[in-house]
Amino acid sequence: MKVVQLVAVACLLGASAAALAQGEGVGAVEAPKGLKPPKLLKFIEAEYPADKKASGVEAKVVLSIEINDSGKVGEVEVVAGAGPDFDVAAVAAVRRFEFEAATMDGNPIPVKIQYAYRFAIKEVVVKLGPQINFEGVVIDKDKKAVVPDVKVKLVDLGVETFTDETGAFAFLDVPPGTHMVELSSKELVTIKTEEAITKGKKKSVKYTVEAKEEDVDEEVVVRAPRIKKEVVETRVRTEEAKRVPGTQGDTLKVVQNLPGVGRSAFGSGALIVWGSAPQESRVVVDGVEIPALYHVGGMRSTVNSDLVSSIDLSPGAYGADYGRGLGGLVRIELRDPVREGVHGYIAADVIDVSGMVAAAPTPNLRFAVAGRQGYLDKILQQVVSNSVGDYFPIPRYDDYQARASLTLGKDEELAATFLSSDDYLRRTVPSNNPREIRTQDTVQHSRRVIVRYTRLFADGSSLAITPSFGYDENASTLKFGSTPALLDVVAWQYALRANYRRRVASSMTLSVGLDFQERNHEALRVGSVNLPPREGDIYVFGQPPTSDILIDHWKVNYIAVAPYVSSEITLGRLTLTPGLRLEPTVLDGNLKNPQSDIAPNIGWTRLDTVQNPVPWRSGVGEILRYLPNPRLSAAYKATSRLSFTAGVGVYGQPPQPEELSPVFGNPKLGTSSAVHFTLGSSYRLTGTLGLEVVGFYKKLYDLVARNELSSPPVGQALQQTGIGRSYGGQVLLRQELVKGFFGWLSYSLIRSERKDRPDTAWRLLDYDQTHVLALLASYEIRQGLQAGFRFRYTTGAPRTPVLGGYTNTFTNQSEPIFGAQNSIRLPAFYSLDLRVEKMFVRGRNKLNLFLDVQNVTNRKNPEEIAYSADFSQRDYISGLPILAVMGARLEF
Amino acid sequence: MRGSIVFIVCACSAGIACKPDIGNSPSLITGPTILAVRGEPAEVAAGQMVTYELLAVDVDGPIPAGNSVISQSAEWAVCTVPKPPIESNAVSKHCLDTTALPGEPGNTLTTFAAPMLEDACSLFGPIAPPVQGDQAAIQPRAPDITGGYYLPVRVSLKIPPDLRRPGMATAETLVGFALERISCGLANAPAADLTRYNKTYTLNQNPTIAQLTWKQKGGAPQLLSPVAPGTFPVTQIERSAGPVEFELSWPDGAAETYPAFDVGTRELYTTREAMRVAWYGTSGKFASDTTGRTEYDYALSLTNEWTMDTEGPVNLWAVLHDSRGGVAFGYYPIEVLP
Repeated sequence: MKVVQLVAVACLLGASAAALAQGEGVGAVEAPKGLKPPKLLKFIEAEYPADKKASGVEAKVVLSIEINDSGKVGEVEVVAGAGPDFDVAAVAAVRRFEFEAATMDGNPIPVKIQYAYRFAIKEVVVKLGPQINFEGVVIDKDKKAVVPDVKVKLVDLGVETFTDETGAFAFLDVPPGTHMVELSSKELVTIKTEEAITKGKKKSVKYTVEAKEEDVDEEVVVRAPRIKKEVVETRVRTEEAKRVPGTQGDTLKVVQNLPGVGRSAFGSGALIVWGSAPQESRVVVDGVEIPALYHVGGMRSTVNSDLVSSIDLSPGAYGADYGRGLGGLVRIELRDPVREGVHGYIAADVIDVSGMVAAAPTPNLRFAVAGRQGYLDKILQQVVSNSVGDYFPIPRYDDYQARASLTLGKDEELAATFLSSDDYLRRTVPSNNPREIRTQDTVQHSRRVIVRYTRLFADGSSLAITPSFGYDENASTLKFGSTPALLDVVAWQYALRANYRRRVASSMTLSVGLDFQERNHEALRVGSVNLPPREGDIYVFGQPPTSDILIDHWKVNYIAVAPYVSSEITLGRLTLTPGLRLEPTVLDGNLKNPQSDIAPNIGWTRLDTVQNPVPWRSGVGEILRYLPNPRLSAAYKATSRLSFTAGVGVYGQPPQPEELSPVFGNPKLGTSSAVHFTLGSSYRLTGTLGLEVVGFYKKLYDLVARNELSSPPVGQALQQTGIGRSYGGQVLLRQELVKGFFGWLSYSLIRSERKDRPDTAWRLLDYDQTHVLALLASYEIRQGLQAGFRFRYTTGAPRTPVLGGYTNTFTNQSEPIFGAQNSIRLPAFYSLDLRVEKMFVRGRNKLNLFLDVQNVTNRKNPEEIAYSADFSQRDYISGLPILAVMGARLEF
Repeated sequence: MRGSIVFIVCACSAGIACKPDIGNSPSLITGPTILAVRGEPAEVAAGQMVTYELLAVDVDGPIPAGNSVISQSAEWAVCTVPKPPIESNAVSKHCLDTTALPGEPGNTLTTFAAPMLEDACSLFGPIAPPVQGDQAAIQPRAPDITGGYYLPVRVSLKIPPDLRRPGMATAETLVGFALERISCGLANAPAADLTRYNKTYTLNQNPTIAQLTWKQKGGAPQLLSPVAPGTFPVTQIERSAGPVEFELSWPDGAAETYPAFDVGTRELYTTREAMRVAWYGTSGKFASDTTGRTEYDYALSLTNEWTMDTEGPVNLWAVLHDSRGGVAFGYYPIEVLP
């Protein structure tokens, strides 16, 4: 049979929801006279190779197609291929094409045409405003009943919700693509599955689950044992956190509004959790400790919000996998970069500018880079005529992050993260008397490189290994006239965290791990022993240091190896989570005594550990003292709505490197310890509305305090004679995000006390705040327009009254005479903040404009007490007046 | 908004910060106030006698001569308790107790004589006190930036009820502390530096005020002589002629050079005293409460501008300090004319 060779012109239509496969004629050759080309009657969409589609790869396959005189497709050959997967898919589809046969002078004839099959991703047109495009219901397989209170999480997006009373859940505006869905509850094993969300279509699913036993059904694949949850833990969705008024869209600043968290003084950014001093709480990112959650001044967090998957605050009694802190724990989990395309944002407001770019160059490799640069100092130079910097502190900061994630195999990931944070604060109080010129120059640098390997095994067990290293520098140089006060601490941190978890019985999961950390510090300090002040020091705000000049330059190394084991045991409605953690630490210093030109300088090394606070010190008591520290939490689910929790644990914290100076501190200081007790209850009023009540008691032992002697022995400026206690409760009524609304009311009643020596009376902690109240809500008024408010009230911090003063004729200045320590308080703080934001969506791009107004009532909240020069009068230094921060954010 | 931005950076977080203006300027005398105590000599070794002279003032002039109500002698005491590291003031709170050592009354109502404590260098200086038995060695005191160690000497004035003011040490007592420099030598330094130090160090001496001049805009400087309390007539200054610029000068050599040991570099170096002047008046306002010269500034005078606010007699004082604790002061009554 003669086959007419021509180039067909085919008008091809057809598209899938997410991708469109198109055909087109190739080239143009003049057809013989009387020839009518074949006409495509039935188009078959080729199967788009999944991995190529996921990574956004488009292609064109040029084919040679034989069409017989009845319009049937005969031989199909690839003329110009795009790869085996594309070629095979195109050929398979084209073989099933149907044509109207070509004709020559009206008679059907066989022809051969060239045809280009184009694999193209269809452009998405996103409708304005959020829409539910992924919903479902969770059903108990055995009971054939709906299951409420199941947490449904889109793992890769870091968003989650809970099933309501009808077992239903829904997500708004889930981006197209394949997402990992995780279902978990205390009644269920944690299960994971993947769901493909296609553009413009709502996905409705039904998950059939089975309680207590691992199971696999058609839709659900068991991946890992149940996720452990702390007995007291508040987790906030990043989508909610960004909308909280007063945070300027900074996700991590939401921590300041959670129950149990005190308000830090304006400008400090300290974290005060359940009555603990700021240095007693820890912040970890992907399991790695970082020095600070917020930049100096507390205006921004040190980690970009868009890289954060979740924030978990455990104010106390947390599990055995973390330690080295007497107070609370903030855990930040970073999110995986986007799995397809290129995304990012750029944002700016009056404080700083930030941006992020994330891309997936291959289906297995994803990365993101982000950065932020504060420029408040530069703005001030433009808008303020006077040399403001001479009088006021101008904080300047920047932070940068990079993260790459590589899929090594099914359920096997390798991620590398770089975190960088810098802070600068410089100010000068000028004077015509050089003795009274005051300068401050504070620099903080922090770097972390974190590598994380995670693997989920087929048997449900999981492994995570996280090596990391980092560098911290905290340098503060103050000068009061010619009197210096310098403290510069440089630290290198090397850490390894490894955790293996598996189910060992149907109702028992076992987790074992190692938390290794080495920190090498080098410190230089010059000046008075009184500056910087310690918690518990009695002084007035702004008081210059005494004129004595001490100096020390010392090194301290910590090597802490903390193996831990914990388990989750389910006994009917009761879940127990016992754990043990052993935290032996080798402490090593280069100076046992103050440096001397006469006597040799001797170093020291010792092994220390967190001692269990056993009341008796001999016999069995001595053995118990050095056993691993116990941690135990229990959760009892009385009904599907009501549950009770309890927890207890022993925690420890090594001394700060600054405290181990033989001149300013005491090289013999050991580890302080604490016992946490909690008891709580939660009641779920609806699927998204919950009420939690928690009480707590913390007892602290071997706290570091100043030596009260007029002439302390060598190397004993500090001593370990302090004890402490914090107790109270918190209530949280929280409506999670539903129908555009979320909010919470949190109230904490806390009392925190210290006793610096056995012979002294209990005193209030400097950071004690009796009442802490936060009420906030945010509502999406209409598509893209959201508004919210936040109201905060806190009791003022304790201060020591000044009864009078005397003249120091050497300095021509009055010095204060103090009353009882911390026997008065600053007036209470309260503030109302508002936030309005509007989002405009155009294609893939979103523009978010926001106005965040803090302290709308312009209340003068006292932050500190200031005294007249002769201490005859006093007044308050006020915090923020009304402050409007306007900003814009463009996402692409 | 501008104010808001300014306040953002006024974080007032620690140490030094922006303070609201509260109360009167320290240079404005509104009631009984202790301005200075001069120890003569300004620096002594243990056992040597020191005579202390008090400069206490009131709106009417120096105390007690200018005010018959505060007529009794000041109460003096030598403090024997070093400041513990737990306290943030320059002297121990125990020094406010009346149990501190008394001294010998001086030859005037405001003078006092007491020997430097025999163990001053171990109590307040670089010599570690001897230990007994298993007692741990005591941490010696640290010097100030000039290498000095100081003995606190307390002076108290009982204030009559009608003159009492808030902010005194007690409801009825005004207290001031002098810090007398102790000659303790150099400690914890290489032997070569110690030898050189001992050869070159000279005990501090109180500075003297050469003269105080005043001028108004367009006028020539005029000498303002110090006078004994109650001595009149006084210099007359016209308020309408504008603010007054005072210039206090000291003789060459008043800012002494001395060797000091840098604890950071651990090197002996030669430096010079910094000088400063504290200005006081019973009326008007000084541009700066204190003015000063650094150790690297060789000028021999300091100026300050004073703005008058009322007519009539005004008492002025100037207190000259060197950075090693030496003091000189002068009393300058004037009359402000319209």
